[in-house]
Amino acid sequence: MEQKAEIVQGTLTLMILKTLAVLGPTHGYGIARRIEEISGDAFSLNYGTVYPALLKLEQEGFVTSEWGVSDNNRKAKYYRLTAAGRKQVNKEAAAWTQTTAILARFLNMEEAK
Amino acid sequence: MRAVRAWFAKLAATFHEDRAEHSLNEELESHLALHVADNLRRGMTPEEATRQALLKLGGRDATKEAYRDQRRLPVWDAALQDARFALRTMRRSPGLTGVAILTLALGIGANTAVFSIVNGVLLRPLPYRDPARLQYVFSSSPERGFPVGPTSPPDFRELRDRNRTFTSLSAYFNSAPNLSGDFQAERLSGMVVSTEFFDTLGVKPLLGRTFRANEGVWGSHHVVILSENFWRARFGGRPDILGAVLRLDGDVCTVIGVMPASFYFMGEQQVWAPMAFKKGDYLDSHNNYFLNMVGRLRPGATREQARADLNAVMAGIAARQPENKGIGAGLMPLSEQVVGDVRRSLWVLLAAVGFVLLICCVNLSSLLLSRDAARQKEFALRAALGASRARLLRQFLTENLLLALLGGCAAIGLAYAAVAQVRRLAVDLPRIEHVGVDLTVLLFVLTVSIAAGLLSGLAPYLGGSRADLMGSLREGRFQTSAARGSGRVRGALILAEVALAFVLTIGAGLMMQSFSRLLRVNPGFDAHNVLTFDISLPDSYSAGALPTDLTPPARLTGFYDALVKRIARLPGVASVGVSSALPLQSKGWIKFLSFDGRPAPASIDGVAHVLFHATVGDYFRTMGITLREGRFFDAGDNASGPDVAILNEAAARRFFPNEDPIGKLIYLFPPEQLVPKGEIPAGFRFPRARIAGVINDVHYAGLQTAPEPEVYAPLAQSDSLSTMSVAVRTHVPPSSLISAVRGEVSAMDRNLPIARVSTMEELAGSSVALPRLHTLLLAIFGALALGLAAVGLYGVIAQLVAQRRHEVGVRIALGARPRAIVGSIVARAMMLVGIGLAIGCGLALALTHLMSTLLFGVTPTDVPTFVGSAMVLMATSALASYLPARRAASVDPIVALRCE
Repeated sequence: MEQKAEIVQGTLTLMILKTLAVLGPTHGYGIARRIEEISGDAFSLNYGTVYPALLKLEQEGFVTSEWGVSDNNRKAKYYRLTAAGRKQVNKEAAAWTQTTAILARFLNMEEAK
Repeated sequence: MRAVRAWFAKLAATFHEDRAEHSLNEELESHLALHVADNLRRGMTPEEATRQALLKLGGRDATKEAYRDQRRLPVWDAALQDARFALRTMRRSPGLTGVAILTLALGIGANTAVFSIVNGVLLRPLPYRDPARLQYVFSSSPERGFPVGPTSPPDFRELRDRNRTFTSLSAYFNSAPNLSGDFQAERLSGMVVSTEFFDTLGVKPLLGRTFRANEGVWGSHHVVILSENFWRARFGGRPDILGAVLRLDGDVCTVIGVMPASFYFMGEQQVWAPMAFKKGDYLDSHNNYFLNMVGRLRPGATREQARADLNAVMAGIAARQPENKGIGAGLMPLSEQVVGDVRRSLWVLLAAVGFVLLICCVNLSSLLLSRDAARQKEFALRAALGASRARLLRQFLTENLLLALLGGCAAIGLAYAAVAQVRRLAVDLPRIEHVGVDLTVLLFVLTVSIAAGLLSGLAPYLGGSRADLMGSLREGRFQTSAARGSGRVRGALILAEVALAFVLTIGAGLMMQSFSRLLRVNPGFDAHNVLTFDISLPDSYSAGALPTDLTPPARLTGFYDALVKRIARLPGVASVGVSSALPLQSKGWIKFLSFDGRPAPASIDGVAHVLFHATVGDYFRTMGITLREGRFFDAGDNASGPDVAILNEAAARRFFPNEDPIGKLIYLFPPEQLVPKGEIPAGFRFPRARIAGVINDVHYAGLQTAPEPEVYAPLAQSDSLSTMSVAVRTHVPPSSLISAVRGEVSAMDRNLPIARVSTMEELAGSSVALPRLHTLLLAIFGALALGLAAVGLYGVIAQLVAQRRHEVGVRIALGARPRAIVGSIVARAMMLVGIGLAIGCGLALALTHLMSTLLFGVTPTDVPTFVGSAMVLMATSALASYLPARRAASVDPIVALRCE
């Protein structure tokens, strides 16, 4: 059986924010599909988990939502970044880049013989 | 910051849960629809497309649950869940819930009613600016028998001008000016105040202005301030009242201001006039002490500093004025002076009613205990399924708090009704108009409800949690360990209940004893069929009289003589009399008493004092006062006849212990040789009066106060007194004569009103209104306590007996006689009651002395009351435990055994 990575705690939020930053207003299903595509199907993502995460972002004021109509004429709830959300993407992305860079350096160290 | 925002978003969401839930459903359905559409496009069958979409979502319900967790506040959610569960539990047992709420409503309602009185009378700040700095200032002369007394105008002026600790000091005294002129004559209630009075209190007028300093000077003093109520009632609130003129006591006074209805100072006044004295006015001397004072302390000045300061001024006066020797000054917070003696009695009532609430809590506890015993299995099951002890405790407390809050709501209704009753009963209570259910009272209800809920929730928790929850699950109905644990708690509840109820019954018993003794006091007069009213003659009746006159002017005495004759001729009138004081209303005047033919005391301090009353007409017969010796006054005892006097028995006993007072000569002055030289002409002798009779003692100061030695004299032979009380004994209901009497007075003087019209029976009733209220309330609390204790005891015994049903069945099957079983159950209950009584007795001994100022003729440790209360409680308890015991013993053993 193919081994898929579990989603790392806290990264889902950033992925959602980044998705919204790139795609603009998107519904939950679209966000979930996009994350899966970008990750190249390396994640086993339960689509359902994006909804509580979206609600949390909304409660914190980083996204807002409204009902709209999808490309193929279906009613769907669209999420959009707020100004605070846009700042948050940059902030979190910078922090994450820094963390991964540090971690990469650790992992690349030569093991003592 | 973001966390706070999220918290508020969650809080807001709890209020529209339904809408949020609906939106969530729609969103998930839209998600699935989009996904299914995609899947179909990829060529799946419709079934497979739906299945895959749901699988990928991670399940509909799991997603919703995760979403809801994010949406809600965790604590709030659990609390709501608890509350909903509690409501369901209550609905399942409406009887128990009803009893619990009723118990709490009674307890909290009674507390709320008493607290609203305490709040209105004691706690609400006085309606003045910065009232904490206001002080009641008084003269003090403990050696002369008045530790707290009024001051004289010259003393007041020196205190006001020389003190260094008050920003403002003012004086006031009550007055009752007659309003005449274009209106029907009316006697007003008023106050004469020094001009800085309103500034001292820091109050502003509704209209116009307050007094200016120059209006305290004789000649510029013809101004008056009206109360808002009087202005509206008498002048229809007409806006042009400022500058209008009123005839007050014959003087023309200009209205300069109107005080708002919210202003209140020592009773209700309709008019305020500035204090001003004519040069040489007899009142304005060091011999006349009639002014009350109120002062505003300087910021930072303490009462002790002020006392020292005032006394230094008084010492300065005494150095110049020998008659001021020994007169100092004192002060107390104004609020204490306003409330006075009522403070103690209100705290006693609040304590008593607090005890009632404690009994209610105990009852509720035992009620909940029996309910929770029945729910033992439910709790055990929940604990077994993983509910933490804290979670179960929270469930308990939520249920109790909900009960308590419902009880509190019912209590507010009860309190409203009770407060209306109290206001009707206690018109004499100071500041009674402030008694009502306000925000403070509602906060009190909330606090007390929560406290009661927690308190009564505590005992079941102690009983319930100590029991091994798993054990009770396993054992099924043989809950021996649990039963023993809760049995101990129940025993403690009985003890507490009996002890508290005992204290309250003793308190109520003492009050009732005291009140019945008060009512048994012989007042010394017959109140039946007597109409009374006051008349205050204006200065014009004394016109031309000299301050040195020793008897009143003929015009004044002539008025009363004629009035008595006119009223006596009215149909339905038996007799008429006039007196300077009415029984149960006031002590009267205090005068010196000296005896002809006895050696004078060494100094003026040794001269005897008596209370003095002047009378006109047939006062004694009208009041139903009986003659012990000699004769009453008659028509010959007038200005031209020889001076006569009548003593009461107390005076005869005190001053003539071993001789017959009739015919002896007395005078109401100090012996001439003790009067400072120059005050009376050389060789002058005060007029001597011959004692004509002795009458029975009459209670003038109130039923509680023992009659003091008194001397009566005919008005024509005594001082000039402008205000007198008229008494009319009738053959018909006295109130039916009011208009006829009023007609006679105005026929004599169109501008003369009659005031304080009431029957002697009404006066007698209102003189015991406060003791009656105290007794009534304590009796209600005592009866409530007794009833609650009986119900509580019954419940606890019934519960204990029910648990021993099996045992009783076995014993009866083995041949025990039912009566023996009843006996053993009752005996066990009574043992607990006995211990409770012992605890209560100790508690009562420690507490009842706090009531001693409320009691009349009974000591706080009155043995018959203690024994009687104990017997009442024993009898009630015996009955309350006998009933369930008998039911248990009458059970058919087969039934009891088969139950297992």
